[in-house]
Amino acid sequence: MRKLFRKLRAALLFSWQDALTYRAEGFVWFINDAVIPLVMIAFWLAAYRTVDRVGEYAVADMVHYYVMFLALNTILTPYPEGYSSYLIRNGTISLHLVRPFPFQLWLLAGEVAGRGVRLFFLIPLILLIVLILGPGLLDAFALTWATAPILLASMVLSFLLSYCLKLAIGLLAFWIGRVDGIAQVFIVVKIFLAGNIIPLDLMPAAVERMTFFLPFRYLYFFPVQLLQGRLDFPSALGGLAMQGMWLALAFLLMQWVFAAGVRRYGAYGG
Amino acid sequence: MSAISVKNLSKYYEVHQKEPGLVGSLKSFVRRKTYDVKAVDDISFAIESGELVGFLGPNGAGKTTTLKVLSGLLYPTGGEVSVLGYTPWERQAAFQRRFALVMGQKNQVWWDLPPMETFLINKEIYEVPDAQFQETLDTLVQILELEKVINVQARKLSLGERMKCELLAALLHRPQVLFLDEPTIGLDVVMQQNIRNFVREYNARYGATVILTSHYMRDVEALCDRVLIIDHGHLVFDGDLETVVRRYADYKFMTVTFASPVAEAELERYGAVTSYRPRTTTLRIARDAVPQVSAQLLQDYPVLDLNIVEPEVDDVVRQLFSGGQSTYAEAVS
Repeated sequence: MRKLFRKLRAALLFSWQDALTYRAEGFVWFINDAVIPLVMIAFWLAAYRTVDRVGEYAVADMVHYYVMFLALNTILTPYPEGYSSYLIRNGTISLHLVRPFPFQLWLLAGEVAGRGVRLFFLIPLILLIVLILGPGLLDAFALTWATAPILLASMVLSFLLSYCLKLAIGLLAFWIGRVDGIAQVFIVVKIFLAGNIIPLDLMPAAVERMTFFLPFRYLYFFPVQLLQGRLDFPSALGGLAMQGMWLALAFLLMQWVFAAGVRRYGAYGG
Repeated sequence: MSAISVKNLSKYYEVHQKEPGLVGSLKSFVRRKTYDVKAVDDISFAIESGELVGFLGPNGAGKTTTLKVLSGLLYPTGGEVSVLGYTPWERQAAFQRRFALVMGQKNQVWWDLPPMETFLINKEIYEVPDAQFQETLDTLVQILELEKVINVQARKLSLGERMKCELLAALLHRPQVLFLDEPTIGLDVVMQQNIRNFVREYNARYGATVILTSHYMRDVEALCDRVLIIDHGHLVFDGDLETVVRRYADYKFMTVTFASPVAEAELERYGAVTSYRPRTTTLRIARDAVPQVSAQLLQDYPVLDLNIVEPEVDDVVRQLFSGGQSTYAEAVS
């Protein structure tokens, strides 16, 4: 296990160097993940001119929600599906499969490094938003000493959950070659059910109830709720447990798809 | 025990077939026709430790498929394979640390970083001790003359420099078995020669077992004492290159220089004229008839010089491949 961690650390350092090479591309992808929350902030600021509250959200809560959503969305959204499917399609994955280091971990290191680099763009953007909207924005922060560790854990689980689900999609390239369509459907469903457009607790009750039984709620909405102090300690722990369960399922799914995919690759070549 | 042992290896693929044009695409969208391709069909061979063996065959012969089975990328349809005592497709880490696969058309050296970064990550992945890494790196950098390029972004390097870096990256863990799939593809003749020299030196220095596939006969001629010729999935020959020539070329070339001009029509009585100038002509002559024809020519004309050579291996192999199934059947029998 120590050897594996040593390899993972080396892969991470290597991937960081690679991620730092393409600053411009990194910035464009960052904007891709930041644009919906930014548009939604503008939308809700206009909407709140005529109302004081929407559900349990005052205007400051709503803006805070999207700023936090933006932060989590940009640093916790990996994109392993594109690169993995590309490697499978052109056969370069062969070079990874003959190495004594799991391909899944190699790709994970790359994704972690890529998200880390986004902090260089995220921090100035958050400061700019606070400067424009005023420091009152920070009042909606309601993290406690009890929920802070849960938040940190939930961020790690969120990233890994997203990674496993999206890598499972990427690995479908072993069968169908191109996965762009499936990946796009996943993103669209996620946008609606993860809370990108509207906070999930403002959705119709039936839809919100459904989100409790899907993984998307636990990607960003759950950590944002923790940040806004909307969950008591038992609910926070319950949410974390659900997140852990979804991660376990997504991990098993991804591993199964990988094993079956490699068997198929081995059977039919590439 | 042999380093590599292959018994009755078969590998069949199912491939899709599409009729040409848009209509074909629409039909294929609804229902796909498939058929089985026998990429490798019941081949057996053994390679001893330290041997340098060439795999010859035209495109689609089954060379790369065999290499992929040996390196654990493909599961065979049938047969038994052992490489260094391991079953390749179980893909055990201990096995993966003992061989390397270099594919001339696929890169492991990271495009956007200097090759040194790839070497360092491979050091960790293959668990190479610091001292061994440094020693191997220094040696290989020197042999491959890479001192000036290992710290330059890989995308800025020439194709030849990148290929040398690929070799270095693959060999840092000192693999005991090396699979080279078209390592000189796309390189100019000087760089091809450099790569050949290096492979020979690595084989001699570390006693590694090397299997090489190449379309370039020069690679195989220069490096391999033994060749396996594979076509349509069948192993049609296993032996040295001289035997290939003796077995499959039933002719020799005779170049004759005459003291005075001789008409081409006259010379056609002795054999097929492959190159004609009035004073110097090359004839293709049946192997058995060479002594008799040379004696006759010396008797009939004032000959200044007479040179008899074996055909080029390249030509013989090309003929063998273009000979069709009858040749294979004949070869196997």
